Amino acid sequence: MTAVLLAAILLPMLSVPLLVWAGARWGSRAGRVALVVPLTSLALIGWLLSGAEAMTERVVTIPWIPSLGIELSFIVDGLSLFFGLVVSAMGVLVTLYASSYLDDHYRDHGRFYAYLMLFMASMLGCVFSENLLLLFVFWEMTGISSFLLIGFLHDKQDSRDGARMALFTTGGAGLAMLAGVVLLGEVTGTYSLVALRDGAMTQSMAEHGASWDGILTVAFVLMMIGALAKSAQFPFHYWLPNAMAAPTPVSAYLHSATMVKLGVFFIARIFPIAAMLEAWTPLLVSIGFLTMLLGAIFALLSHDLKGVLAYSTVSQLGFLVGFYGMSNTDGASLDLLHVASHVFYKGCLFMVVGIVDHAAGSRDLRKLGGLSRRLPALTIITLIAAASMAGLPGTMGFISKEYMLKAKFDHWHSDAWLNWLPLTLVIIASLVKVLFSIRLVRSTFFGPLPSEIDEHFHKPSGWMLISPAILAGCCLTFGLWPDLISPALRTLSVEGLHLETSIHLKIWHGWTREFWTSLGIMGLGAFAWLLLGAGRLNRAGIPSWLRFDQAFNAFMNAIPAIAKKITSLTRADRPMDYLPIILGTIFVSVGSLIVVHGARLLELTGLRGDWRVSELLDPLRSFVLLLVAIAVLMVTTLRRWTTQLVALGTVGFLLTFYFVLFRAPDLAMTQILVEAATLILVLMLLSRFPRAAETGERESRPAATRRIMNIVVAVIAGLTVTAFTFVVATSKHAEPAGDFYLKQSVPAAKGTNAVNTILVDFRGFDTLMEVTVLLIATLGALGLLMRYRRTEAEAKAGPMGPPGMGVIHETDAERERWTDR
Amino acid sequence: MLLETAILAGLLFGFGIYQVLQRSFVRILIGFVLLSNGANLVILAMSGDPKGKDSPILAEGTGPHVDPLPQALILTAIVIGFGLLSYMVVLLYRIFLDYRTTNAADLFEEPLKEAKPEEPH
Amino acid sequence: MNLARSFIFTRVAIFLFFVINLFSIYLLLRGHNHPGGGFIGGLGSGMSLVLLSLAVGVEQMQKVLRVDPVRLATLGLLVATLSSALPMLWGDPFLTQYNIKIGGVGLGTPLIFDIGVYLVVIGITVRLIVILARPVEGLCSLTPIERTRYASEIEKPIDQPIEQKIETNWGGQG
Repeated sequence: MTAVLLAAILLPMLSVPLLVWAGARWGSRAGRVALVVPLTSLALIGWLLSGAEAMTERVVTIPWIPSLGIELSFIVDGLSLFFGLVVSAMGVLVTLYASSYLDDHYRDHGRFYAYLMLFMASMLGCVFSENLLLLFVFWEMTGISSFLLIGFLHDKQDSRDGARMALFTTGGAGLAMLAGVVLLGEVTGTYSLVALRDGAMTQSMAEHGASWDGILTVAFVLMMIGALAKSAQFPFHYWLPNAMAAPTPVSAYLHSATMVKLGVFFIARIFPIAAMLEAWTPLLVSIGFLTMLLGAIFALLSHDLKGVLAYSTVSQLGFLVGFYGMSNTDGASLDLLHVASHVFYKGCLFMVVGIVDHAAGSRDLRKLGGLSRRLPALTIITLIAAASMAGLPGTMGFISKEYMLKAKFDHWHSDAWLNWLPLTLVIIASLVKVLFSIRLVRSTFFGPLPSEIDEHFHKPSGWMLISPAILAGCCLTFGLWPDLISPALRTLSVEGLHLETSIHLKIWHGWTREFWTSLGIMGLGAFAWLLLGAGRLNRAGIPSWLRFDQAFNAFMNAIPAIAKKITSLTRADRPMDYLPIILGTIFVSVGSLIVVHGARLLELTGLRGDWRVSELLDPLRSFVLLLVAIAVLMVTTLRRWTTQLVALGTVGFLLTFYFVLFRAPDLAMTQILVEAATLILVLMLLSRFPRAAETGERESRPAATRRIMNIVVAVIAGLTVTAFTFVVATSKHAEPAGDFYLKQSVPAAKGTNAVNTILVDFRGFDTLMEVTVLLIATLGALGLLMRYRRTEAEAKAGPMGPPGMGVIHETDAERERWTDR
Repeated sequence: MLLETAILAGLLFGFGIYQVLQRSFVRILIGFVLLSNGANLVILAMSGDPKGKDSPILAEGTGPHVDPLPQALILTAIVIGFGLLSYMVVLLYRIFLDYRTTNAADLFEEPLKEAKPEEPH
Repeated sequence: MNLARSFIFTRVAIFLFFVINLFSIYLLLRGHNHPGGGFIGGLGSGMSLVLLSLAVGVEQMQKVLRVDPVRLATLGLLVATLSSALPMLWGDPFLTQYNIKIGGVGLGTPLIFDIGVYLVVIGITVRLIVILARPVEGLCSLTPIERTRYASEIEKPIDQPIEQKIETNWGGQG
């Protein structure tokens, strides 16, 4: 079983490079090849499902980072199998649909299917995860692959904006979720969902008493932020309609059937763990049902077909969130029915919209019309799916709505707002849903056929109809014979999440209050449609301040502007001004610390109060010090480059004297050699700068204030370093780190040169990295000289400047070969 | 001993920083060399007063040995510093080739044609 | 431009080249027990080569060196890395060093590691100092052979007018 599960998840991931290659080779036909992948995953997950009448839970664990409690731990139970089936089955249908939708007008087919399979793999990983951290990793992977898919047509501005919005919203909220997950894991001591459900949660709550409820609630709210953003709940509802810039197969797959359901999935996943928290019901019910109503109203006011569907998805997801919120702690029931029903009709409608867009060249409800004469088969499919959306009898949507209303009525036994509010909102939202379902069908397929649509019209490929037809067929079949799903729902019921009831779905329950309400909704909806009419709706629109997307984009665009302002405020774009600020800050802060703690630091150095400078200064060493001081002063004051360089060399060679005094023969030798190398190197550079630069430099001196500021910074730095060095060097350590190396040098490293044993043995890894860095620096320097900018005249002038010191070109012919002819 | 070293390190740092704050490439380069020398001295001073101690060659001398760790660090730092300096030399030369100037102020004070950012589409 | 060059300087430099090299190898070999080691030895050897190039020219020096300095440095890095990684074959940690004593002289893997360091330091010293010692003009800072080694064919000058010229240059290499 382990192998089958891992294969189902890993196969799509492994197919990614193959599909890129296939796309490069076969172009648009790569979709047919790609179809193999989701089919295999579907078959494997089906195999996992088979042979189990009552689904028992099975957990597969592979250690990964045991020290952090992270394991590759997968769970196979009803919930994961249900979502796994939805993901892989929709994967098959969408790939089939996309292979006709993405015709030769599109580019990069391989990339598209590769992203799609990457997404499918992340989704499957996410739903089968048993470890919360693993779930988070896959969760973020779905975010990234959806970013790539939304931005697939990346040469369009709205695609890029939509992709960015989706990524930032879900990714940013995902960070909140990570914080919640880590908080929960650290408080309870485990990241395993099974362990949490089987008592780790209640145990830790019992152990620590009521005070921990607060922490757990914070963790829960943080996780919910991530889940609600993924499911585009208010106030994150803005990203989903903007994500519709993606190609339609992507919208059908990600934004109706799978990814946006992840938030709902996550809520279901942690239901057995978190439903006991006080915050559960108020939070989810208020946000869920508010989103349901808002989404429905926005769907009615949208004119873009995909916008209508996007907002109606938001609305339906809001219902699901609220549904879990108001289920009592014993468990929910029939949640999977609602999810499945939505997947069928919404996936179908998205595909229909893609076909309409393809055939008519427009998705605007105000411009479309009369397509039923041209696309009769599509009209029938749409009618079934839209009826399911509106909840007409005979469709799966009706069954779903009946049970939804029943749940609300059953729940209505007290006067608390949590009881009557959901029912009211559900009824209003259902009414609006009927309205926009009618509008969708009426404005697209009936009425007069506008001339420009007629001119643009071209018939879509029959292949594209297969997937929506299958989905519409499902809507109808399960709507007419609902008991067909009952065994599946019983098999897939999950311990802790679902009520242990024997489910038997029926199409007819008698003249119940649900049925009357349903009839009322339909009747009122139809009446309202007649009252409002298509024309009045066409003139309406969503208030822009409620859409939030413009505010989001304005915010995103403001970030670079604000950054630029801050940069120019701190003058970070001008190193000449910025460097004194940085250096001054560092040295003033360190120096003031030394001044403040001066007395204590002086004590550390072990000097008595009556010390005299003459005791500490030795005549010979002071003389060398004086020489260095003169040399350094000359470096600064001299105006000729070469003389400056000579003075610099003097400083370096005089320093070897100090290295010898400190008993460091290795250092003294190295210093001499490096100093020589430095001199030659800098001389080579100077020989390439024109003489005019040297004289020009003497003439242009910085302003007096700037020079004074530089001197102040330099003096502060010098004093600070002096004080710092003196204090640090004279302070006594109980046990210097070096003692270890002195003691161990001979016994452990078998060498008497302790410096060398540190370099090649004790800290050999540092040395290895160091020589690597040296090599990289050399390659970088070579790279710098390979490309550069110059004008045409300069190119004609040939090689510049004199050749390096003492360099002789063997022949003129040889030299010619190196230069531009 | 340590007082002179501390003064020397301070001297190198002070002048080094003054040089680095200048506008001429050559002076910045020289300042960089001074700074790395000063930093080496600071680390070296941490091995304490070497009076009465022997070099960290255990085969030689009988007395206590000086701390070898700062010496190993500096040995590495000197060589790395040389690598860095070489890279800087080539970088400055490259900047000179591109902008025909040896003055850092020319690179930042007035907007350069080349440095103009592309208009976002 | 042909610099007049002192005969005495040339001869002394050639003589010194051998002396410095001998000394630097001596420093390398005794590094584990006495002052010296890969860094110092490498710098010494590298500087002797720089001295030689000052005396007889970069091209002559490269004939003496025979190999490309960057290749030398890469070889050194390879030696150091492999000698560190080798103990992993039989399960010892990375960078385990072994020492044996033959007739009072300590020999061991630290020396191999140090030789790697030595080669890297020679390579980068020579390469970095010689890098500006030629008439430099873009790609032409490299000799034609070096250009085929370091520069891929995709590298092109940034501005357009030169492009064709450089390409004909490449075409010449072939």
